Amino acid sequence: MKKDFLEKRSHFKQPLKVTPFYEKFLGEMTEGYWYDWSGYKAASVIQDQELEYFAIRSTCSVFDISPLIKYRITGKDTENFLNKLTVRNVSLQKINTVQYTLWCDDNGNVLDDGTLFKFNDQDYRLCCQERHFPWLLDTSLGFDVKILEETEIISGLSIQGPTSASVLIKAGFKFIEKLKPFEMLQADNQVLISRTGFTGDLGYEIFLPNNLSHSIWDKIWEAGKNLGIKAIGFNALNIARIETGFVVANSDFITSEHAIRNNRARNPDEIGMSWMIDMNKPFFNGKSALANIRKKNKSRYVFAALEVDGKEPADGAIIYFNKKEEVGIITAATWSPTAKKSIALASLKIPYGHKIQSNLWVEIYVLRELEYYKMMKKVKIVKAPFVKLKRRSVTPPESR
Amino acid sequence: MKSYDIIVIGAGHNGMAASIKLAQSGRKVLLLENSLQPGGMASSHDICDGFKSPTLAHLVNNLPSKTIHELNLTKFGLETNSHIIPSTCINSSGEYISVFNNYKSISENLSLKDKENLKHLIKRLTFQSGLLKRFLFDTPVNSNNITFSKKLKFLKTGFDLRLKGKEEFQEFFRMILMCVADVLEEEIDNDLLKGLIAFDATLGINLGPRSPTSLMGLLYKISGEFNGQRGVQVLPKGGIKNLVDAFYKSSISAGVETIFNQEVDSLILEDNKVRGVKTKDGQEYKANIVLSSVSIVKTFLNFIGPKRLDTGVLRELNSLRYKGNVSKLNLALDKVPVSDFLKLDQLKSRIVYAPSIDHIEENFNPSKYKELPKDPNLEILFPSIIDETLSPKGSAIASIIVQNTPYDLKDGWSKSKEQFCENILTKLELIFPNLRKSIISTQLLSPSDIEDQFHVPGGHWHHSELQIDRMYALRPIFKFSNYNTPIENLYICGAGTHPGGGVSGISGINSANQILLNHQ
Repeated sequence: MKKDFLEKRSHFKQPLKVTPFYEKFLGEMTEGYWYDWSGYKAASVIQDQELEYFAIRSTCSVFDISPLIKYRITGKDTENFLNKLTVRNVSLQKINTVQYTLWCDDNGNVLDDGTLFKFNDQDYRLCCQERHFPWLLDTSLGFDVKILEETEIISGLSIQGPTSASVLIKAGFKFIEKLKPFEMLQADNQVLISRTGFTGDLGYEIFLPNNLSHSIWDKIWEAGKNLGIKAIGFNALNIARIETGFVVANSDFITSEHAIRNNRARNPDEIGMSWMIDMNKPFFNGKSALANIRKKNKSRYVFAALEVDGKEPADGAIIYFNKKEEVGIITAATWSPTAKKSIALASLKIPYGHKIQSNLWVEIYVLRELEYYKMMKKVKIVKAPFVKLKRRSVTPPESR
Repeated sequence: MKSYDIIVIGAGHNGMAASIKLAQSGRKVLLLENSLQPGGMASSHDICDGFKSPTLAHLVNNLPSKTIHELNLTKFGLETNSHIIPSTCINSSGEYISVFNNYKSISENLSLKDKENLKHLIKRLTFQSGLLKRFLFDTPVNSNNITFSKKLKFLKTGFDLRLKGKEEFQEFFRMILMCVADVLEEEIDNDLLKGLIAFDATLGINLGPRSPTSLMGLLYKISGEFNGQRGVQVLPKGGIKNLVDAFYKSSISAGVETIFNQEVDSLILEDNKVRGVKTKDGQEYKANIVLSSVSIVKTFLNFIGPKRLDTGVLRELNSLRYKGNVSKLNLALDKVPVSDFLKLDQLKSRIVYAPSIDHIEENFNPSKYKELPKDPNLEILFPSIIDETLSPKGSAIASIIVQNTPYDLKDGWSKSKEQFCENILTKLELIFPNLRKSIISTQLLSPSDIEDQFHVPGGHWHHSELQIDRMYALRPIFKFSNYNTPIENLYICGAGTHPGGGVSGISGINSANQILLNHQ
């Protein structure tokens, strides 16, 4: 009884869960630099942030995506259910493809974004950043679907970089050279490989049951030895994703369930996701609200990709119009080693970034030996991605 | 496919009231009714030949002169000098008190102290409920509907309350969330009187006299009026049927086309706009405006369906409390009942069996656990003794409301119903000996029967709980409180919307006004 009691309450000893790949990443780790990703202990840096970034861009990087929240949705009405849940038209998605998507609440504010993997008409996997089980269940009312939370039973690796295809082929994954971007295949009954990623580079994501994680890791690691394979943390990935212009929920925008202040949530138009919304669908969550927002021009923000003068990253900086009026904030910024520019993603208050595109400045504070340097740097609105790589979409990928 | 300006679903009093108002404005109105007669929960039926019993509602307590006037009810047979019904509260040993006109005059067997205190209490409650009454004919505010004049009205109401003096001002805020039992025990000694008032406060809602906010139920009841007379219970001449007929005749005269026996299956939607109504037998009726007077739950979950509703709205609808707890027992008697305690004159009153606050609370307790009360509280009315036209000479109808009978009984209604009915009859025989022998026909409608017969999910006679968290702007939910819905040009009215239940037609009138305002 007492033992049972203690066992049930021993969670405090391990505040963060570890993924099935934990020991493998720990083996590579020299920095001890971890962070909390959805309750999992995840690496920020494994050995060296710059080297890890260059593994993404010039060889092959391995990133642990097991903490992604994963739902398996099956049943007769799955497609209709997903059409109600998400803003994109799921009926247009082909079997064995992946759709980047997002979903809204009643007011048209974004609840989360994620990727939708289609196995067949009645079987999908939804991966996302936040937990949504109650929302999915409540949305499924009236639909014949089954929703399974599989975050803790399915783990994942993201293999990204120019040599990633060669590594996987060498590791014994057949036919992956045929995969076009956003296509997927099942290597065997249990392992799913998709040509997707968060880097804008050639790359693949692998999802597998936890019990296979070590054997698959060993195979890939062995295959990658002479192809520059490197375990990476989030910091390196973050540089690559900013270069590609990808947004991260609750970092570049606040999701509606997290927003405490009522003007902080964002609708898809305000985070640059207008292209996703299919207003021709008969119905989806938030459709009438979005129609109303568009009809009355009620969107208040635009999301923009910016190039910043100089080389200092502009993290969290305030954007000014004419160096005076506050008109927005930088949500993510970095020095892009590939574009050789200081780049940023930003949320701007309409009409700035919309009708008014020039005379925009950021105020950057740089601390140098206990003295702040305050700089006003000019920014230019550009079109994302900052880094566009041919190898991302070439099929079959060049072998290396 | 026939087309109309407006389709109204459900020919209950609210549906008819709205249709009349809309037709009066010159619009072509179609009223669709599921059953074979108008009236909904206020309709009557023959329980056996010649016995016209009010199926559910048997008294009116809120029919303001504004309703009567705007719907021309007097022109179509409603007599404004209808029977004002006194209340008699009795216990099983035959002690009773009688109360007239909004608890104002009381039978002699009450102490002088109680009489004085009651007078003050009722005066105060009447004032307080008067503040609520101001908002009866208003479209409640919500996020799309806050106008300057509405703000001004709130301000003025607050001002008037303050002008009434410091004491009344403080008392209002002290009492508004109290339970009715505490308020009564502060002022009154007589158990029967306390029982009667506590019964009136809690009848029809899932609260006991000791549940917080149960005083609100009493304020709601007292806010009612019949043609200018506050807080009275009225049996219209010719029974409640006559009132329903007046509604119906007025609707015909206004030009409303009513089709009976038409069960609505779904709403025809085009994008986010309503385009008409489809019936179960496949008929389609076209209209660019649809007003549903049936239960909110049915309107949204059945006529539209969960697949077509935003998840947030769906969550709110699913969290509505709409399980009824009132049953109705209708009896046809071949003799006028005789009581050892009550004179014939008192049989013309509303006889309430609620001996004390504790008795009601004890009856309420099992309902929390989905069980039936052992000695249920009753409201007994003999409409045919008051109005002799309702049954053959020498016979009588008993119309009995049974409190605290939960919808979702633990053992299921089919198992418990017969025994429960027997229990009630046994209790009745304590007051009316030999009643059982004179019964020709018995009909007990449990909440689940009410659900089936009147197509109200949960069988709740207010469609959904009428408590302070679901009143005014929060009724049925904040998003829909101005009779609009997220579906363009679909409107709602009925007991589930502001101001709630009771045969009053007010929500019908309010929603019709809202439609006329939006579509000038």
